[in-house]
Amino acid sequence: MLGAGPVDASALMRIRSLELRARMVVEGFRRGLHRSPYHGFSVEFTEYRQYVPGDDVRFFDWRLYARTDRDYVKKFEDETNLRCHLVVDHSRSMGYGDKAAYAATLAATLAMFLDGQGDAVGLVTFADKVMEHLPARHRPGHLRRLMLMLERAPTGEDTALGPPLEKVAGLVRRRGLLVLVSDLLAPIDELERRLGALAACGHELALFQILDPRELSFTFDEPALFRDLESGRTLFVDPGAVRGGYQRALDQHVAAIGQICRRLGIDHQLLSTEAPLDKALLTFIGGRGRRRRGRR
Amino acid sequence: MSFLAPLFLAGAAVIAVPLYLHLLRRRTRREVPFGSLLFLRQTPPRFDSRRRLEHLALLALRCLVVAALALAFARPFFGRQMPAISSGGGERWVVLVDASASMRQGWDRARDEAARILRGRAPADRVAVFTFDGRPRPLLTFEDWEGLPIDRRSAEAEARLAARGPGWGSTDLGRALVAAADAIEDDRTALGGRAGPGRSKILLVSDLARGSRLEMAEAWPPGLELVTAPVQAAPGNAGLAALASIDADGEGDGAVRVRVTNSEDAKTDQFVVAAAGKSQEITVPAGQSRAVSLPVAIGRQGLVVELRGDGQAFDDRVHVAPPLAVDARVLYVGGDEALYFVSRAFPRTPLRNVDVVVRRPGDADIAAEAGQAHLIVVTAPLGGGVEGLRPALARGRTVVMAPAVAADVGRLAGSLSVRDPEGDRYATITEVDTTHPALAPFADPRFSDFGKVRFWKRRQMESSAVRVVARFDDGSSAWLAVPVERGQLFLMASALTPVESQLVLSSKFVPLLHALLETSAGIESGRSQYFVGDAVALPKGKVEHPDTPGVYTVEGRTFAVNVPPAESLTTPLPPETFERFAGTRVDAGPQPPAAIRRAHDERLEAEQALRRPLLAGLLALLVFETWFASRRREVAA
Repeated sequence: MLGAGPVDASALMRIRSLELRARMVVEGFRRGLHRSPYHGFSVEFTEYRQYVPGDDVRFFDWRLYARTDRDYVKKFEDETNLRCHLVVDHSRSMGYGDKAAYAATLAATLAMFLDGQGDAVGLVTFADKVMEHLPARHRPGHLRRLMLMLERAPTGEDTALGPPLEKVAGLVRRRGLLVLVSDLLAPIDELERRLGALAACGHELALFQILDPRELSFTFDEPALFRDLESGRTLFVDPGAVRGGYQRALDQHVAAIGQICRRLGIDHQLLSTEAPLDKALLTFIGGRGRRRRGRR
Repeated sequence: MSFLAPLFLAGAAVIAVPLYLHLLRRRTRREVPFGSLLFLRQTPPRFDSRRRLEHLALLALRCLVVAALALAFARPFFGRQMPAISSGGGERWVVLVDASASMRQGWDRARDEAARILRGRAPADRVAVFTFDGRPRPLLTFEDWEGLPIDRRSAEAEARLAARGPGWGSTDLGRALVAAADAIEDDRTALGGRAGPGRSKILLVSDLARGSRLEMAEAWPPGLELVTAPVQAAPGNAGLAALASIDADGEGDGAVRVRVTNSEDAKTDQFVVAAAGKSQEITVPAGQSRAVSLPVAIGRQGLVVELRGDGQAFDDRVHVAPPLAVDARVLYVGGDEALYFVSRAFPRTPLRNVDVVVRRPGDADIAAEAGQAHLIVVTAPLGGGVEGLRPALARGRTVVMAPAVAADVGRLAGSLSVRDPEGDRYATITEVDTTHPALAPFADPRFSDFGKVRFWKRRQMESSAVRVVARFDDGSSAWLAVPVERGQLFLMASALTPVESQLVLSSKFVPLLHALLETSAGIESGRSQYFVGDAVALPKGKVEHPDTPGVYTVEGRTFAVNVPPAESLTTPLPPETFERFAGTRVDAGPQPPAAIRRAHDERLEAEQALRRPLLAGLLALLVFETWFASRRREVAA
């Protein structure tokens, strides 16, 4: 499992400890990173420029000067440490299948990776409102607290995206990275407005939409009473009769979220809980790097 | 097949429920949790013929369970003609029909009421019919009822009832009720181990008049229901009763005295009393009575006095016979002290002329006088002279010996132990044998209390061969009756003096001596007025029980028989009178043919008890269904 290949998600979810799960993903990710052209994203080298008197001599590239006799200094972007807030959905719908565990592992992996780079990581859990908030810190024990909060089973009520995102905007004043992890199985009327407000505040946004494979393809056969995990409402459903309609509605829903994200320049990833986590993470980091370079 | 409760068959419609559930059970069969129903729409229910076919066996089982349940509740039975029922089921009825004089007014209604009730009896019922006035008279016994074909039972009872008709007697309701209760108990005993009717009822068809006597029905057996079917006559009745027509001085004044009693619910108070062509108007307000003297001489053949103006005629005629005077002779042998009381016990009256002849012990003519006397009272030892009384005893006379003298008794009737009195504690008589003719007047509860008569001095009389007719409170003999030839020795433990007892001072003394005289002489009191139901003693020992009012002359003796005055009290008894009879209710009401049919069906159903195997089968089906359904689930899983 600790090899260079992608980590099997179902095997990963069988590991009880969230921290261990995250560490395995991060380790695997780091091994793959040796072959990767990306260096993380907190303190990034951008370019050389001609040394002018007054520049900080700490960034003078002595090796280049020794080889070419040219005086250049390294230019870095965002020299300050990154502040990342993980916004994780803890509504009851996340309790379906392995969605909650998958989301927690994803968030824990990101947290561990960033913490390992010295970045400050915070956590916000929400359902129909913000349930818990751990401010972004980088200090001993903080990661452990964050893991404990993530490990808690989703106990919220319905999923509602508007109010929690509005609250997050109030909680996270300083610009940073906001990673939203949710199944987004809720009306998206306010999603664009709320995400747009966060982007306008200078936050960089990333959105992971986690869905169970059965939610994605509705692989049921027998007619049954389907009970909504959030509202408890039951509905007699014959899968053969409704599968097509469900698929269309879900596709439209996901497509609408995708469009919103594209308009706002947000990285949106739809993840099945069967998808390898490290690859998802790598895709996310790669995508972010590309966007940052594009932005420059 | 018939059903006792066919409406329950409608319950079989519940079969639709398992049918419907089998068609739609997939709606509720399995619940699947799902993240969000946001993109799901309800699938409309639709029947699945394939599934129905798969569960056909289970469906059939469940329908069978419902059908069996409905069938069991409908209480099925196979109808057939009900055979004559000798025992078991039904109810035990005694129909008591009042046939007293007061019922002459409403007899037709009473008969119809009884017939209605008899016709309404179920075939399983056991019925006995009694009529009653002063005494109960069986009309149809339980055995008679059993022996008759079912369809003829009621008709036979009605025919017998019509043939008997009402009498002229008084109403002893208590005695009739006791007789009915006894009949029920006898029938219950006679049936023995066989299953007889469960409930027993007495149905009383009567006018429930206030003149009815109820004393005998004091203790009512538990579990016996009394159903009353009142036959109310028209309200208001005035009655006529004859009064003594002799003055206190013993001379008849040539007038007939009668009493007119008007009931409380009377509508009229103006009457006319008439006899032998003479009449007198009289006003008697409701609830009151008036005595009337009519200046009419009672002839040797008697007289009829009529009351006019009353609606109910049965008690509006009273027959009056001329008074009957009796001459009698009493021989007294003893001292003066007791003589004082004995002589005063026989005053001269118009109806009785008693001559008290006094002799002292030792008088030579005692035997001669005893031969003419009707009663002999001895209050002193006679010694050998007592033998002179033997001829009188042989003629059936009574010799009263007070106190008893052992030697004298020994000469006449064998050994008797008489000991002198012991102690100074007084005694009272607590036990009187009223079956003895001389003590019969004390059978009436009003006169039977001897508790106030104290006996200061008494002898201890002991003999095994004599009849003790009265006992003291300590159990010792107070009075003994010793038969001697045709007569009897009446022995007393105390002398007839106030020193030894209060008897001579009490109200018991005079009736006692007169009763002894009447018994001894075989004479009646001289009474010439009787009521229907009374026993009339005739001179030659013959006893008549006349059952119709009128003036009779039998063996030279003329007497009148009338309706008992209590019969005139026709106002209904208050309802609370019957409260002491447990389970009493008024009017059984008719049993319509449908009810008879239903009782018949109920009996058939109870006999066949088809519901039991049905219910047992139902339980077996349920067990099998449970097993079958669980097995199906396992296979499906």
